Amino acid sequence: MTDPRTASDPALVVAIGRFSEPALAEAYRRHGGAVHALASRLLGPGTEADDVTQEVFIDLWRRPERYDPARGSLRTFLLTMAHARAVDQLRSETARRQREERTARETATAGYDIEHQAWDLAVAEQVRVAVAALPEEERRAIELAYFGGHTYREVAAILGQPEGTVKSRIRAGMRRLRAKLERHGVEPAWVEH
Amino acid sequence: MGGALSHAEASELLGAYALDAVEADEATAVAAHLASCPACRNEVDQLRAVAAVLAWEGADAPPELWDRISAGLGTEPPGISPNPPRLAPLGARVSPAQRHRSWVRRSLGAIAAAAAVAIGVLAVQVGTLDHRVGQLSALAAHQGVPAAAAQAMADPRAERVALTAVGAPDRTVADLVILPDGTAFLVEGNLPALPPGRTYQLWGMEHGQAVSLGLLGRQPRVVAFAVHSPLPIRAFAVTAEPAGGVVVATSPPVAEGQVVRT
Ligand SMILES: [Zn+2]
Repeated sequence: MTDPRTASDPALVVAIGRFSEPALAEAYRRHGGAVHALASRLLGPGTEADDVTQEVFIDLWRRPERYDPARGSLRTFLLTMAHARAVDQLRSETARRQREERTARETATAGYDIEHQAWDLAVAEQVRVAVAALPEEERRAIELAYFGGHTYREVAAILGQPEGTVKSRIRAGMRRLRAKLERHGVEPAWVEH
Repeated sequence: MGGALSHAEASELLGAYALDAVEADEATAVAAHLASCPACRNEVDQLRAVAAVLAWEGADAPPELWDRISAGLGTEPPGISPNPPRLAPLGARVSPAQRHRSWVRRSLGAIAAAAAVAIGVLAVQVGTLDHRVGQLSALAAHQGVPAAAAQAMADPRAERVALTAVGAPDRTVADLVILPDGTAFLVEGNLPALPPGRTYQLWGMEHGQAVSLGLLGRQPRVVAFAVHSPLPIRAFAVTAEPAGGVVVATSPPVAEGQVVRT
């Protein structure tokens, strides 16, 4: 690979497999912001989110073969890894306690979302419209699960709804989003560089 | 939750599963189902892509965090044993195994430049060597791919795959040498040079799908790549693609080969 900046994401991963640190740096430059933002959204800004971000990229360095381009974009892969790690962290007891102590402090500094510019305003707008068009119950269930890091059982308890209902609402909502985004030309493939 | 999930039971959980919103035992059960159900696997992939879109944030990657990541990579490339075996000092009494090892070492330069015939003979003759895998990876990173490839070719545990031209199965255009740890090399590449802006790309057939294993360049001679270990890939193919590579092959293979159990 001659210039990481012009390489496709799959080509970057191949180069990472050959121990190219510039290729990893480029993957971080492209996707580190999204990974860090998602981790921060789940864990709050701070060392926990930094740790998750670091782990995700070191894991990509150590085991690049785990990324299978046939199954989705590199960004989806990295965000999936980051989300799983952040949720593990959230569900660990000690972390939960620390977070509860912190919550009061940080409520005042909300506005995290506002201070970040959308990566692509057109895409962000499509996503916002698609999410807004979801039935309210589906939207809340998805947000609590994905950004709150709750299981569907916890979501059911929070919303006071049957578990089975929440389970199917999450899936129905996600499928609805997918159909809507695809209709507007926002597809996983567009994530590729 | 006991027992395997039916397709219907699993599909009900896919939305929550894609969002990491199932209990640990459910996650295990769904993962087991996914291993044997392409339809569910496909849906999970798509729902995760949707989730990734929801997570879309425009924040730049924090530069100071890169310093931490970079420092965390260590000085060794992945998969290297931190304590490589030491060479016996010159003139010291050496065990047969050590002697064997130094013989291989001395031969390396010659092998790298040598003809295919000589390498084929070595592959048969050289006995098992300790700690070779780590050395190989380190060689690939620090001393250049040809030397590491030569050593891999001399490793009796390596699997060899002859890639032959499509339409001319008796014309070998390259060999693949694959070590048990997944370190792999294309060697003795003899494919026609591609025009600028094009590259050969190597594919492995895994679970019925072509998975990219790496770009080989316009005129590959010796190239390092990596595969899953243990090797689930039994068939390989080479296509000619635009420089930078593609996610899905855009042209029929120009060369192909299969692992042959000996
Ligand atoms: Zn299924």
